[in-house]
Amino acid sequence: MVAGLFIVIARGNLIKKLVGLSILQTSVYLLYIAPGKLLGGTAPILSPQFSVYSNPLAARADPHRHRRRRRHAGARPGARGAHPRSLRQHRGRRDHHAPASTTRQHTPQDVRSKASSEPRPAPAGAASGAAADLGAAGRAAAPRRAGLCHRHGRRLGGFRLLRSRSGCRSARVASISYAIGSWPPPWGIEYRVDRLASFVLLLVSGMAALVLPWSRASIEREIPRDLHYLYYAMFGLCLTGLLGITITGDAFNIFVFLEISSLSTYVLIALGRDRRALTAAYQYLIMGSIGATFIVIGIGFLYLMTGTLNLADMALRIREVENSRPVLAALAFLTVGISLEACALPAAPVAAQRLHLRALGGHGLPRRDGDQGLGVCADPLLLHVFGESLVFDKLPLPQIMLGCR
Amino acid sequence: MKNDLVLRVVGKLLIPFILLFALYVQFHGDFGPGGGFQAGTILAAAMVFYALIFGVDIARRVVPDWLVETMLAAGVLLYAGVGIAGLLLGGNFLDYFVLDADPVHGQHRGIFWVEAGVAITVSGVMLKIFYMFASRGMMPNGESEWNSRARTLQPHRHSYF
Repeated sequence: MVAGLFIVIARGNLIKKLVGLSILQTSVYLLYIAPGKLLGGTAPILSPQFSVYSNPLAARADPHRHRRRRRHAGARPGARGAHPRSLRQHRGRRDHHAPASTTRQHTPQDVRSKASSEPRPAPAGAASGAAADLGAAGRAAAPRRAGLCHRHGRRLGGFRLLRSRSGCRSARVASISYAIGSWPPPWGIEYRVDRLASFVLLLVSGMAALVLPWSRASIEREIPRDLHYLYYAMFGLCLTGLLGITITGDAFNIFVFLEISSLSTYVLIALGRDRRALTAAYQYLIMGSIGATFIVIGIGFLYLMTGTLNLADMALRIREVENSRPVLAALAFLTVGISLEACALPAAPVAAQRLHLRALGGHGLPRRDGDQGLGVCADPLLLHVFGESLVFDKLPLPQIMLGCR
Repeated sequence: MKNDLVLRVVGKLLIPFILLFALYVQFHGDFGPGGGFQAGTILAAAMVFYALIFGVDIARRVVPDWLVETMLAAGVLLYAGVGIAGLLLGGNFLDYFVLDADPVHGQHRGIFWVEAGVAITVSGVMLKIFYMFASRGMMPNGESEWNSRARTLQPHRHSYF
């Protein structure tokens, strides 16, 4: 892997760069195929002989075990009945901030945690301790609870309208979930529109709707007449990829859509009349492929550690392994990869000029309004992915972004 | 390489088996490693082999350009059509469960058509790429595409690094 990366960076010859790139990518695939090999394993096909294999790493990161322990601690006073001494002892040990009197306190959290996790009402004082206990766990488990709401959500045709309850991170926001192929979300691919995603979707599609009629004149000027159909096809593909990145709730699907949008972007760049457009597209191809490879390494590490590709599920499970080394490495890879893509994706030469890609042949290219428009929306879009990758609150991103513009 | 006897005989002998192996990989994809992508590549490889031995022009007569370009679009349309069929039958997009009364049969049927679409598109794309490389951007009138492009260029100085 390192050898491939070295060849890509150190060699000036374009063919050698390509060779290095394929070494890099092949080694990444081998890296993932090697631990995935199971003796006697088959593809997950509906078959009576098929048995579920669960990843040992993922089993360690199982969030259910954590919650079960909590729930058990909460249910214990209720099971012991109304023996006052044992109750008080228990409460004193578990919750030092609880009032000495056993008056019932109906905090909303109390009611909710009882409703959601305790089928039988516990005695008054005990429930307070249990609720405080569950409150701490509840914050951590909020997305999981939102996940539980999934299954109870109303079904509207194929769509499922989700209404997460208060206390969840996305408080009182209805989000739309769509299971592709009717495989339920944590296992199948889920398309999910929440408040942020709907904003970015509106932004991207609005930009495309503005840009496509607007860029007509410059396309006539810049691109040979017989290649116009390619331009519009690639524009459509790029838009598909950008919208797909935003709407999907599956980590690997993000990578696939990223590839769709970036590959079509390379073609968009190469379409120019200028001969240098080809070289510039080639450089973008190299940079973008390195970025995509880094992203797939990061996603693979996260998948190895959490055992899930669903973003909502991953956001919950990752808390258990947050500080482990593979997860940190994965976040580092994702950060570098997404940063590379964010520079490569704005096909707009203007954006490329201001970034370091100037050295890579991004300058002097014909200005094309269409590319610029899509490039502009690629930036907030990748930031959106950033937000989902949990790195957002740990990096001084606003400073970085402002400094770079 | 048309005059090379060994290549010609071995090629004629091997190509049917390559095609058969492609079909095996295609239909074995339901139960194990394989599927449309691999099968499409093997199909295209058989054609590339044929073109290497007998020449691109003869290969173009066997699989003409219009057929390749139709295959490109037809495979994607077949894939999307399976998805839309799922929608029309009352399921989600790409929902195979509703394609038959028995959900397991529906899964088999859905994956069959989807893989067929993938194989068609992939072999089409592979052949298209091969034809474009093999003809080196020659336009139908025999003129190189790059020459015709270069005429429209306004010359100016440039440096990449």
